Amino acid sequence: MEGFPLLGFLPPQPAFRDVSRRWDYRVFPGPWPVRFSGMTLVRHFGGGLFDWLPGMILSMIRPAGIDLPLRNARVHEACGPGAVSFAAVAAAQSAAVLWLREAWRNEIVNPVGLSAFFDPSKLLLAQTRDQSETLAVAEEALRDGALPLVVLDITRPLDLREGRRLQLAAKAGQATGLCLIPDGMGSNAAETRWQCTPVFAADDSTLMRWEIIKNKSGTLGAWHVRWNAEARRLDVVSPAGERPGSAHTAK
Amino acid sequence: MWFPRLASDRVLRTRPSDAPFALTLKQANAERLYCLNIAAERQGLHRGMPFADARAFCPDLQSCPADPAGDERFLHVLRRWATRYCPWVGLEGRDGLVLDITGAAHLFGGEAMMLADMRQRLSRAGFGPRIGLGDTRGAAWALARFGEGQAEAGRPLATLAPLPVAALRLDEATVTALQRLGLRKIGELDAAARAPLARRFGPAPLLRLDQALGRQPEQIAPLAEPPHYGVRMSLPEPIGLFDDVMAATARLLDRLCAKLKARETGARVLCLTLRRVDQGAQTVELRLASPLRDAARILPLFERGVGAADAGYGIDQVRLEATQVEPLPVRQLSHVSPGRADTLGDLISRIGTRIGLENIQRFLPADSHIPERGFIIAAAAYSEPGGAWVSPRPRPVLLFPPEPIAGTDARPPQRFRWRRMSLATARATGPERIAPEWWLPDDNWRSGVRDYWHVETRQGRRLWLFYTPQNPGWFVQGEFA
Repeated sequence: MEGFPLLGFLPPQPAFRDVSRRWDYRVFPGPWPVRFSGMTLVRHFGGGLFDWLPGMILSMIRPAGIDLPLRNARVHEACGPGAVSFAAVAAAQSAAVLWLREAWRNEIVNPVGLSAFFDPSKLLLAQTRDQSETLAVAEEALRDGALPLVVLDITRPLDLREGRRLQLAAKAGQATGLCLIPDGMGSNAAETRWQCTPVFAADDSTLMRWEIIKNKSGTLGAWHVRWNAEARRLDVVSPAGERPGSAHTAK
Repeated sequence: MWFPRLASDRVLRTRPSDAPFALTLKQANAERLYCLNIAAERQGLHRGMPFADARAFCPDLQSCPADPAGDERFLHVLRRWATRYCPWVGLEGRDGLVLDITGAAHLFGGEAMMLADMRQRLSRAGFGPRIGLGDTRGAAWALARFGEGQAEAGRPLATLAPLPVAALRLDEATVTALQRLGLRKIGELDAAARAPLARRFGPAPLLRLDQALGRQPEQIAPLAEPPHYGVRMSLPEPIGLFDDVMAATARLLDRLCAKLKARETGARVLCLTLRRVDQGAQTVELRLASPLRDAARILPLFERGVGAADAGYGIDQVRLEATQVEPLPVRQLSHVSPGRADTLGDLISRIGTRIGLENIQRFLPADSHIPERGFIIAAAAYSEPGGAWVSPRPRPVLLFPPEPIAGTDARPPQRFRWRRMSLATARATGPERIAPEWWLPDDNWRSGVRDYWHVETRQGRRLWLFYTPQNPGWFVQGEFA
């Protein structure tokens, strides 16, 4: 993550769009915004004031955005019934994905359904015997870094040693890991943990609520998002009832 | 060297029997005899006979389906064996070998002794070979098939003259026409006037005649030896340390990769055999995700297997063989780096050593409306990504075997319990009817057509339900994003 470009900091192809506010500002996918006491700063590694400045200006004019994409070279966790969708969105922003699954499980991701998120040809599936094999393969793949994203299904809680080994491997290989965990099985070593639940909306079939319930280097928050399959883009929307024109805001 | 009953002899080698025996091959929708042993021929059976007729003639006939591809492979094995007599061995048709023994016969004590040796060894192995020896390839062919023996050196006509014209490797029609002219023996054909024969039959019969009599040259093309990708190393003292074994492997790998490079091939499966002083052997197999001949990239992949091998009292012989190779042409270096494909292939190989190469898979699109058959899972190392993914209607991201829920009629239930959750239907989209593929029997689709519904619940979960009208029942099969 070298120096932040002073000009043209808006990416040509926005990965996110915040449609919750009227001024429709894009969340840029470059250096990740981290919020400190209500003000958004741009996280930066090594640099001076000039590198901070655009982010500070930007933080004043834009509303606080969702902490996505996932921080690179870290291992994250997603839980809840929408965890697979969360992984699919994360995979949509990555060049290639390795998906680790234990062979005995009868649930399998459906590539036809995933094709709404990304091209399934960039997905590799590894079937393992048990969780220790999953972890070994995940560590190997993360350390190698040939695949920028490794998604693994977790079936028993990770202890601190296993979680930390995954973190170190991700750091060595500059790859991102994402553990899909059952509720309440989080590991202390995870960088962030996301609770993902689908939400019913009268006018929308893809609305989800993503809540970040653990964040090692930032604050917590919750967002209502939906996936725009045509544009392959994540839209952040206001929670139902707080949107412009709804009964709650009209009074 | 002609093996008149190669196919049946090959099968009878594994299950010796004196009873009439025949191999059958399905030709033009009928089982016909393909090859039979002497006992069956004595019963009056012949090749090409319908199998049902043969059974009527000979009720105790034993039979077995023929395997022409296996016979061909076996002929190659015989060819390799025949190089013990001379280096110049080629194939002759589907059931013969041709050997150029010029300058090799004296090693066996002369031509007669050599022929006797061949006959003895082959008959001990269960074959009835017919061997002809002549100055020319044509003479040897004729003698092998018509009157086994040895042509007199320098005067082939003397031996060949009494043989029928069919011994000249001519086609059926020519042989029949020659016989109608009264030219039944090779001697008669040789004595006839050449010009009218050439005018009537073209050059073929006279060319074959000249070749058999040595007036025209004819080559024997030996088959090239298949390349052998194996190297080994014997050690003066047994070794047992991991680093030592890896060092030995590195040296072998360098030699093997040089061999692979010379032939522009890459190894796909490597087999490292560590032979121990107590005559035991440990085998480390390495399967690669892509053909490779770069020693520096292959060596680290062996670390895991060698680490798990048991050295016992020490290893004194190391052998490395590429058991499966694929063509890998030399590529022009360019400014475009090979990039991810190479590193990804290495990663797949490395993971493959741990969980098995076939367990790293990729999805390929398949042309089916059945949800489980809408995609194929193929081993990533042996397939290329490709094909377009089309889904005209939304499909779930997660699929599981159908889980029954309670429901009464053809409309989705207003409330239902699934996985110990109480859910209420808020919106249902459907039905989408999918019929089973009758041409592929599938037990899961025994219940008939399915009406699929995209059900959004008030609790948030978006499920893929289906109703089976022919066999009423409701099931959950997937979950949407």
